[in-house]
Amino acid sequence: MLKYILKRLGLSVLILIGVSLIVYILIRCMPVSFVESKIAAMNQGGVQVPKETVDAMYEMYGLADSSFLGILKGYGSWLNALLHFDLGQSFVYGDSVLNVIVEHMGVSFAIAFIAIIFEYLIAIPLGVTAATHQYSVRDYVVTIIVMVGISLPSFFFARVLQNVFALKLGWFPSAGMENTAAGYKGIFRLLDQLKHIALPLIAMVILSIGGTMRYMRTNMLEVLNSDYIRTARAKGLKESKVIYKHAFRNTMIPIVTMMAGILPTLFSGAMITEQIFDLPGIGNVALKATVSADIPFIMGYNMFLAILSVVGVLLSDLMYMVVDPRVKLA
Amino acid sequence: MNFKKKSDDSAKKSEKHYLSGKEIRAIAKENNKVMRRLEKYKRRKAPEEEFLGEMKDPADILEVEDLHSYFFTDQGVVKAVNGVTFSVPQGSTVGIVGESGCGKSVTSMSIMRLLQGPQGQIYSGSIRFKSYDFKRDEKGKPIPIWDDDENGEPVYEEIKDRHGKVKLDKNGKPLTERRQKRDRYGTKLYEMEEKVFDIAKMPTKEMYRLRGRQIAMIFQEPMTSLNPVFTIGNQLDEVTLLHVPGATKEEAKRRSIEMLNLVGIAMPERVYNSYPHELSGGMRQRVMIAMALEGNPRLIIADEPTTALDVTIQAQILDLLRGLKDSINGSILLITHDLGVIAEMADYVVVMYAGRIIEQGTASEIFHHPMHPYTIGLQKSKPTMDSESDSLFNIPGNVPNPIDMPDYCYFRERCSGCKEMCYGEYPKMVQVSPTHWVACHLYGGENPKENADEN
Repeated sequence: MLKYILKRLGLSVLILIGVSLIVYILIRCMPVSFVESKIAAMNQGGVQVPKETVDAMYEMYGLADSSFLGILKGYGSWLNALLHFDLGQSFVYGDSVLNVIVEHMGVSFAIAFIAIIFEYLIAIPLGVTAATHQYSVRDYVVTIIVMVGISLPSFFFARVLQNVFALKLGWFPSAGMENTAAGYKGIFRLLDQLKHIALPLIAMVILSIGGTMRYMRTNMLEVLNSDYIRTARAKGLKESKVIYKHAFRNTMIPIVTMMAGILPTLFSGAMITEQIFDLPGIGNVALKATVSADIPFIMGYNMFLAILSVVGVLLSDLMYMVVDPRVKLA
Repeated sequence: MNFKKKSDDSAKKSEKHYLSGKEIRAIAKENNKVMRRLEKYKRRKAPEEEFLGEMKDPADILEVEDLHSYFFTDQGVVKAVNGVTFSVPQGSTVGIVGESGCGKSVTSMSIMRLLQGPQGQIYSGSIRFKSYDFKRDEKGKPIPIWDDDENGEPVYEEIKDRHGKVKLDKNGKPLTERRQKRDRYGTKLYEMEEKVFDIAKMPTKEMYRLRGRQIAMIFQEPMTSLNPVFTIGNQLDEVTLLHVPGATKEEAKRRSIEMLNLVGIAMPERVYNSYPHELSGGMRQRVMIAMALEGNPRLIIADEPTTALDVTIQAQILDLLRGLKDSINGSILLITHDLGVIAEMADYVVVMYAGRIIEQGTASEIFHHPMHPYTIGLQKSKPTMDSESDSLFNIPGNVPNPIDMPDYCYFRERCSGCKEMCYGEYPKMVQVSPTHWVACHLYGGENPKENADEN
């Protein structure tokens, strides 16, 4: 078992190196350049920046050589720094990349964690009822509602929520993480924060329920039509026991694969929603960094997600072994 | 059954091979109406008197009378079982034979009320079953049989917990309870009474007390019929825990292991703790049989129990079933398309074709004096050791499309002895001996015996 995990982790290193190389080359090929926009901003002031300064700036940020070899060299130095546990300095935030990630991760994690709990608490029962009452009014109503949710674009739906509940009705604050002016302490501060993240949470939950519910419904239907469910009914078990004991355990097997996707989403932050509600989450920070071509930060952020994805897949494989006795890992 | 009979042949018979949008909508509308009514009927709350019945012949344990089980599909109503009448006497084995798709399995599923709703429904007819249920006191609790001493004085015994330790009350005294009689597997006994239920009329909720306990079923696919994520022990114990009031986990385990022993599993303790995927097909079928026996049923329905197994295991499983029938004093309803299995096992044989019974009688009558051309054909198409011919006989053609069945003998197109009369309406059942019935125009004359001899 331990040997298996170690083997998988060893393979993960290779995957991560590949991911980082591809991501680095792609970023370097982006049509925006941090230095360019900085010089343009300086030029706006009316002062013509001398050519020597421009060259010096390119040199300083390590972006002077844009040939393929130059990019590879740049990747080499990034990798070398990484081996010394240094992710580099963020261009935009002027702090070390690791610090920026750690600082903003908490907010995103808290929101995503609550959202996922709600998502599963709502989507799984909905999926089960839709499956057990297949083709009934209940099934159609649930399916239509979640399909509406799945089809809404997040930038649009978040804006609608903000407009209706924050600006028109004034039930919730429209943006930000907390009301610093009020100076709440302890439990009141927490409640204030919850009030601030309520709307983004609602947006995220409604948008994500659809997929999980459809997945649950399909799996449940497949399991309910299997022979062992007929056996369970033939034993004289009540329908609720048939569904929640015999069918549910089997439905959970494919659901566990979704674990692989949960881990990165927990930490990655919701870029668009966070940006609309101006939350200091990592998604918001990463969006700004991407727009301004903050190479060290984008690299650090993407590597962070890649590591989480790799660990997520490993965890879901391990979970498979827990829920399905037929799976043995070696 | 008190369903309002009404015509549900909404789609007019036509010569074309497709359905127009109008016809499809008409079918869907009619189907929905019928399905909703039948589903509601299944979910209704009903006092017990409403589905109590009386057996026609007290020697029978199961009487199926004019059973109609339909599937309401988008193309029309499939009359999978179309007026089937037969009975299973106590302590006997009744075999149902027929081609694939002739309604054998649907008949058995109807008896268990396991048809997949809302499409599959028992449309009309009655299924009377003589159940042996717990006698209940005024509060609805089963009445235990006490194990008293010779003088009729109640005996008290200490209650033991899971680890075999005696349970103590607050003052440190051992807790006691009146000793209850147990069967040879240590399962508690209760007073029982016979009741005749009409299964077709029972609400689904009431079926829970018959399924698994009174009527058990063995399915044809042992590979997929056990839940892959629970241990064999867990799945076996469930039956005892469900059907014996006050059964503890230890009692259930003891009974499960006894049952595994009974079906000839060599290491019951090990199998008890294994998962289904760790067993072979034959072992799994044995486990299924053990599961069926767990509730001490009066009727075991074996739906092609040997189809998925190889020939040597088939023989073992059949031997096992035959032996078990005597030891539990129950009856077996054996469904198969294998005439060899029927000849081996059955006392009575029912031959089905396209949802109807075309011939029934004792095994010897069906095998030595088959009357219906279909039965004769089935017999001929069985390979024999002493036949000289190179090719095996087969009945030409296929079972007709089950939607929009015509009102004439369904076997007409495939029959070698087809007469002018066969273009008339569907033949009635003709009695040719006290136990032998056949539905064929060849024997419909004044003196059926004579006609039979001519053939």
